[in-house]
Amino acid sequence: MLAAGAASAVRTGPWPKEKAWAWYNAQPWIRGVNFVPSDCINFVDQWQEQGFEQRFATADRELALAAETGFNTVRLFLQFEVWLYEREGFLARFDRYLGACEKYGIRAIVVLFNDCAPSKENFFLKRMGDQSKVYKGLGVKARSPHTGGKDVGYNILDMPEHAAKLYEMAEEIMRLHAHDRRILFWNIMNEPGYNSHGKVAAPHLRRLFEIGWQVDPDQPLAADLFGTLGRGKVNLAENVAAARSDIVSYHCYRDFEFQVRRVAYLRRRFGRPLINTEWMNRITGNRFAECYPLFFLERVGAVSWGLVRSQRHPSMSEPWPALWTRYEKGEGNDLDFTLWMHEIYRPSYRPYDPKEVDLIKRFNSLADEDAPCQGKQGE
Amino acid sequence: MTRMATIFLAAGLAASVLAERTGPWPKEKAWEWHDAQPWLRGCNYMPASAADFADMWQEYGSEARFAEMDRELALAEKTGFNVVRFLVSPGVWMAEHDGFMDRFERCLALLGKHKMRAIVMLGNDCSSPKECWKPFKPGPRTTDCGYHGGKKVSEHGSQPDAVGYTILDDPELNPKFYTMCEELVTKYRADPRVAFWNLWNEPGNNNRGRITLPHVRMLFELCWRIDPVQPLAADVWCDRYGMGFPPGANVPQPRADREAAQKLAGELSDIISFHCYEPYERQVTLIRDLRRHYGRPLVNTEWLARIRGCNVADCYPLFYVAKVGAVNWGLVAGRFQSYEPWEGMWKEIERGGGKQYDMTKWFHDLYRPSHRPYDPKEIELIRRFNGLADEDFAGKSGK
Repeated sequence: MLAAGAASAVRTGPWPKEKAWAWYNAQPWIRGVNFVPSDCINFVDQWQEQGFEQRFATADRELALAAETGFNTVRLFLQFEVWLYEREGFLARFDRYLGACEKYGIRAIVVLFNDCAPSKENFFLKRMGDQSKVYKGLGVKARSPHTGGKDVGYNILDMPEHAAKLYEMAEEIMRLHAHDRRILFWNIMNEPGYNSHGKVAAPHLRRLFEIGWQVDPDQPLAADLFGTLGRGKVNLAENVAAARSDIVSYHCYRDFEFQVRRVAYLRRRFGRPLINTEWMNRITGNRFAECYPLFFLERVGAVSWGLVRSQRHPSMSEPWPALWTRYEKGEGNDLDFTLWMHEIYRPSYRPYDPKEVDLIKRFNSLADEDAPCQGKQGE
Repeated sequence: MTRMATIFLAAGLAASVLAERTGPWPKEKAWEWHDAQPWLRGCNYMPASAADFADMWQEYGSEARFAEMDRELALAEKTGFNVVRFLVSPGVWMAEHDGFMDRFERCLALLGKHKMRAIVMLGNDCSSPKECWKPFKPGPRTTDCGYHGGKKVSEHGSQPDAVGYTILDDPELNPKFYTMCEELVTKYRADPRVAFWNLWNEPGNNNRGRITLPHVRMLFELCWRIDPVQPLAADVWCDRYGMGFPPGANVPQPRADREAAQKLAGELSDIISFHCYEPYERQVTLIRDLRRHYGRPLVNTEWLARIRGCNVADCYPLFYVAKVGAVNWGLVAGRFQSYEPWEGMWKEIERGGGKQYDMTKWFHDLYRPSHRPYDPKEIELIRRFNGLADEDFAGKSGK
């Protein structure tokens, strides 16, 4: 009786912790990558109609590679403008993507909106078509948001008519896939409040969670905690993410010791399942060799950045401009620029580092022996 | 040296100015040349947007490429380099003769603008089997993404037992190669922008030892007739008939054909151009052996293979203090993708070997496509030693 009553009532907050843990304990160890096919310039390229068939074929090959590596999760960033301009086609292509994932035993973490925003002068509403002009000639992203935090972010959340459309998009996609087992969870917003955008993003994030509660999908909802939390700075949007997420989706690109401290802190503060949805930066000492076994052992979801290095331009794997700035200020002696920042495979699909991929595969097969963890713990 | 011998030698030198050259410079002349040079340091150079050397020289896309070369050579100059080494293209020379000669001149002019000189490679044995060989065709060139040299099937260990094929194996084209060499060496025989003539890249590579032997000799003889002011050298590049191994090392079984080609190259060269993609200790023992064997100036015209432990940090200071010219492979990472390992190394790994390789590093190249350093510490070190070499040279020349 009680359960039936709860189901019919409208959700007004995050899942109780018990429900979050029940969901998490029914999962295998969640591990995978943030996924963009290697022939895409950006997320517009991943979803737009132009060139889709070819890129979808690449996606299929690369999802097979992910599965062969033993991954069971990909994190997909949707792109608002593609929904806005090519709505029906986009929804169909999204469904096909989920189908391709399912074929390889992979589930999707769906990022509804990305608040990782460039400065206002660098912002533009994405256009459909050839994306190659987003990059300058030398393989440098013309409008990198990763410049080190001096810019104030600007994006469609600053444009009321587009923000209202974003609500529509979020609702439509969550309703369409509310019971879709191919989706692991809804990542409501990537890095809310990045680049001092918190004040703008916070009310929108609140609204997006409320939309999620009205839809009340089977999958949990989470917005990312990515940096300022517990470090004295105030990011109003991240505070919303902290208060409203069913599970903790967090990002950490710092060295091993910091990873350990982050896990300990987030457990203490939230007492909810943890999924690290962005990590792995070899230059800053955030590497598979130490972090991956840790995530395995502590059953922290591990979703690193990048599978195959881009064929289109090398800059996706290039160090963030902010790392160069640190080095130039004389504060970067701990940075090892000789390593790839992200990604696991070369464009030839050979490993970047065969030893690394061997390690990943070892721990993935250990996790397969453990799964489902519920059975083991219940004995 | 006895007084008699000195007089005899001096007479020989004087005679050689008038008479036709019939052999390498006397050692003394080679050292005299060497002592007048600053420490030679630089890189093998191909513009980042070029798929290969033919692409570097062809007309198609050449305007944009010259602008690119200007930027990249400025970067090399800023690094403190004073030489670049590149291969010419007989294919382009044949197909676009006047244009090629014009572009070669423009390239030297650009080098002059950036206070650098050229090490010009003429012949080359680094080649793929006949079925992969194609005559030069002007126009855009394709590359495979993720493979060293931009080719899935490459001359770098894809088919270790196959015999490479080059223009010299075509009886009709073969004489044109010599005509090209004669034209270039004659035209630039006294040009200060040419540091030296690298007559043959890796003679005997890709199992071409037997084929290449008479050609190497013929090219030397042709150049002796022209008698340029710059020295001539063909590469001593691999195995080096057992030289350069420390005591107790497991010396690989030498291959007779390859050795014969290199032996000839070494014997005919005015200065010794050698290649070594091995770690520091092997560089030291090789330099020691090459000095003892040849007694001529040394230039390492191919080195730097971080994956194999051949690194800037230890090798560059060694080359500086040993006054061994240092010309690594690659400036800016580009379509040639020489930051990727050789195919042969992947084959070793796939067979379960290659445990000594650190695949996480760039194999060759110094700068990213953005022109930032691959490793800022590496570039800082290179610039420090280039600065020291500049001080040495200024002191020597009394500036």
